[in-house]
Amino acid sequence: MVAPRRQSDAGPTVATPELRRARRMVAAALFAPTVVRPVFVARWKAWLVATWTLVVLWCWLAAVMRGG
Amino acid sequence: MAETLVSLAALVAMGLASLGIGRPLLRLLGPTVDDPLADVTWSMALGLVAAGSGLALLGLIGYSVIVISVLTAVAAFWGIGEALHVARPQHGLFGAPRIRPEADAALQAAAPPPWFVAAIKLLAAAACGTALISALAPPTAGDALCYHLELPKRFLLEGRLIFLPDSDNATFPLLVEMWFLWALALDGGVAAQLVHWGLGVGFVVATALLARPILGTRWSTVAGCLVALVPGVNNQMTAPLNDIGLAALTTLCLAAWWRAAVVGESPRWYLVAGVMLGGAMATKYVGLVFAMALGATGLLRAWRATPDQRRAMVVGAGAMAALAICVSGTWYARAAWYRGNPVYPFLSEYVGEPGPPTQVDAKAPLGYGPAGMLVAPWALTMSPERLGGRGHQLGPLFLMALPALVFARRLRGIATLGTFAALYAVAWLELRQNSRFLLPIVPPLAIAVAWAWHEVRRLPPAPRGVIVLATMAAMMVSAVVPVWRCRGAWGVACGLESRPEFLFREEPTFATSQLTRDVLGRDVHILSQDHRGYYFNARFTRESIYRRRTAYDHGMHAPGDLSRRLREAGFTHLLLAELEGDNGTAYDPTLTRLAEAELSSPDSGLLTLSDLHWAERDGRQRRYRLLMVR
Repeated sequence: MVAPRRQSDAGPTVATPELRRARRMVAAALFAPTVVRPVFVARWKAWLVATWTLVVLWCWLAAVMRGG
Repeated sequence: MAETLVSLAALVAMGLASLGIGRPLLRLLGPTVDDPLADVTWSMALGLVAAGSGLALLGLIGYSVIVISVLTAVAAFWGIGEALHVARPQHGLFGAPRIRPEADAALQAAAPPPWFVAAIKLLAAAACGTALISALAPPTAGDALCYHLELPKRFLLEGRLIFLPDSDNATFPLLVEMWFLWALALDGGVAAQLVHWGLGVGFVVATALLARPILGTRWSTVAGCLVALVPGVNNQMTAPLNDIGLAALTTLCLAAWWRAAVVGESPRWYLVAGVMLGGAMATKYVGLVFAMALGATGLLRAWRATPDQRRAMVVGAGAMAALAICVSGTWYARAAWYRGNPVYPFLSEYVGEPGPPTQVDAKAPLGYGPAGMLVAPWALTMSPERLGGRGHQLGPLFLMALPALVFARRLRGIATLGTFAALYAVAWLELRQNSRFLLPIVPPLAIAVAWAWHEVRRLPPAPRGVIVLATMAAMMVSAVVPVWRCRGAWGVACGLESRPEFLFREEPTFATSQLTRDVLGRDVHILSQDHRGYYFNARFTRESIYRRRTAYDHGMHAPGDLSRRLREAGFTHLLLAELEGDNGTAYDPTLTRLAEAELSSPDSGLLTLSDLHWAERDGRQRRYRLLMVR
């Protein structure tokens, strides 16, 4: 019998304890409301938020000056 | 100045009386409240709902100013005793709440910077303080003079909770108007206006109570102060309307439900939530929309809960609904009795007496589809004049801060609040697109904004600095608006100008109302084109509603027909109103046209008693003519 070259050639994945633990962690992260996941905020995302804040403020001030 | 102090004393008396009535009710309902500020807030809210319901029942028997004053005094003295009990030395009124320390420790570790808390408290205090100055001036808000004050005034003058067929608002839920009736009995229109100001302060505190189990103590203070800076909130605090009262009751209902259903505290909180929900439904029909949104949110939570939790939530919801119906049912039964429709004028096409159209395209400028939902946040912020007026706008802080939640960490509770707010917003879009009807979801949005500000501290320094500066600028502008608004009220609030002098300058109908009061007395019945009837002591009927009900203008052939028909209907005088340059949008010209036709005939049954002009701020002239029906 030739040994399988890839994991997918071996048929259905065996649910090892490590795999089961990983699946539980993913499910908990997705569905449990008490889990707080640290999210890395990239610099471009931070500047996106800052730019949006400035745009809204600018447009609102213009609307206030226009309408009173 | 003496008048100002008397009005403030009336407000304090009502507050103490509410505390005296409500605190025993809170003990009866049974939830454990450790925090003194929460104790006072829940007690006063329960007391106000009980007092308003009691005044409604008293109206079926008969109103007496003396009876109301004596009952207020008794309840206020009891309230003084309850207040002394709350302010025990080991607590103080503003003592730190005893929340479960493990629930608060993680959030307290990330408390807001002290300078930020001090700044937002100062700005909120400035907004509330200057709103108080404006509230000390006599009422001039149109809606207040049309029905929020006019109806309780009529009920007091007539001595009963009567039915007024020519007032569409007379069969609305009127719980807040009962509080205004209470204030009118003790003092007058300024005291009623101060009641709504006090409800605004209660709205701010209720937001903090809702936020406390989610954000912790410090950030809940930030969320509460943020509500005070919403332009629509501090504007409504200066006028005796009912949107702030509704929002305060819905927020307290949500806060009580949260403690029972989400945090898992005593199930007796469902009873408190039921009373608050009943109060909201007894204030405005929008309370029904709030109930549906909260019910749907509760169903979603119950679906994801364990069987035991689900059972508890279902039983709790049933208790809430039963109490809410007991508290508010009187108003809907009254409308069903008089109009054949418990929610008149809504659904009047299908049941009961015909009413004015309620589903009007002009009141839905965003349309009814998903596209409207997408553009609503931008339109509410940038074009509030399309959605109820600039005075009721929500301000820029929500649109500025909420998108940052996309990059924020998840916090327990934000998703539930967001679900509730989204469901309510969808109903708002489909039913009535007016920004003041969104006030019940301002607290959940404020909590989300506070969390977004918490997460901003995790951003790199440069963009964080930009966001902080922009946010501070928006808050300062939002605080300047009420400061600017109150500039005309300082004189009358401090006693440098008398209330009649203020009203002659600011209220277009005041001069004519004083003329009718001084010359004609009370035994008159006026048919008026202007809807602002509060300052008239006489019976006052809105011409547009009378015409819709009776079609009196149809089939007039001779010039004397108008005076004959109106005299037979019991009217003694007509009040004609015209606005220079108006094309019939401010005042329908039907009565003016008919009256002028009869006045120009030799056999006129009408006699002009007065012809007054009043200048608007933009220079246009408003003309009021008082005619006697001979």
